[in-house]
Amino acid sequence: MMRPRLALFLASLALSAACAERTPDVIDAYGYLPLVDDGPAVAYFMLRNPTARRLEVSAIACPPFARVELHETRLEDGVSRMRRLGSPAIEPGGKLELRPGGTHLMLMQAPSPIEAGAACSLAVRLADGSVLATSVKLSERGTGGPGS
Amino acid sequence: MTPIRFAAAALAVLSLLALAYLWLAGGQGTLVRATVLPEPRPVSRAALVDMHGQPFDIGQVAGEWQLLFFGFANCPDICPITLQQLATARRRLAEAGAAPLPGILFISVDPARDTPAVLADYAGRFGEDVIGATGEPDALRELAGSLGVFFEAADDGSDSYEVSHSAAVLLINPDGELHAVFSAPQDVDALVNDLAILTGA
Repeated sequence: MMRPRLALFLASLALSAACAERTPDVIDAYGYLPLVDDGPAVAYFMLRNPTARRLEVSAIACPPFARVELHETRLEDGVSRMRRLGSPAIEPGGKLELRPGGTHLMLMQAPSPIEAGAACSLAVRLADGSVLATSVKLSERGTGGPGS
Repeated sequence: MTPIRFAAAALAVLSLLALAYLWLAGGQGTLVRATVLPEPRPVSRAALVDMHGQPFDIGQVAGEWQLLFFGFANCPDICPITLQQLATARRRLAEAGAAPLPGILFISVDPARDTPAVLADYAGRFGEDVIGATGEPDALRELAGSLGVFFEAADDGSDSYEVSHSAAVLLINPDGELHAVFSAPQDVDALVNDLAILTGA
């Protein structure tokens, strides 16, 4: 028969694993430096929502960039148009995927030029007050990265 | 002739016919993405300025195939992605020994921000051979109109305004005429395949 302490330990492990699986996260973040002076850098990532509730993004920051905007590139009759996204919602079990040619994060107004290989600190604040954070390494275009 | 000998002879003839077909078709391939115009269309020689500040028009690059793309340097997503795809396709053609290689010509539809100096820096990031050019709004509209290209700057009063623009890549033939169109989104494998066929590289 399993000892009570061992059973309790295994149960807590299982509970921890279950809780960990149900936590939203941000993965696969990467970005590119501006191509012109004072131009926008760009970042991509995926926000996963494995929870049973609908999540809403309320704000995104990525210092040292002072201004961060979520945009979507759309092709309409062969014309590329960008529109700013407000507070996107992620349905239970869904995801918000930022990828080249689609939704992307524009990073603007860095206080000083950023070197290749440097990172910005991405913080995605959700409407429930929680913050999902990760580091975004910024590369030069054409020098690697999943979207190059 | 016995049935077996007849079948063997027929098979041999069919094999020869198949080989002949493959030989004749070899190197021609099939276009997977490009739309070729039934008749090449003349392109405006509107007066632009290149990234060195010199007068420029499409006629100056006649004699070579050109891949033409309209965009703007502050575009963070579709423009650098497309130019990177064009540069990659060109490099792959070069690695395969293709010749002549098409040039890459980037026309900025944002002359207010994309000065020749900005264009030189921007275009150079995609390769030494990439040419950047822009022009006065009227000249840009004339050139774009002759190619069926649309562009429109958002008048939001900010210094980070967006410019909507056609995302197609246009293939200009050595006579300086519009020859084919690659509709967006682009695909490097398709570009390499179709350019090899269209340019006879």
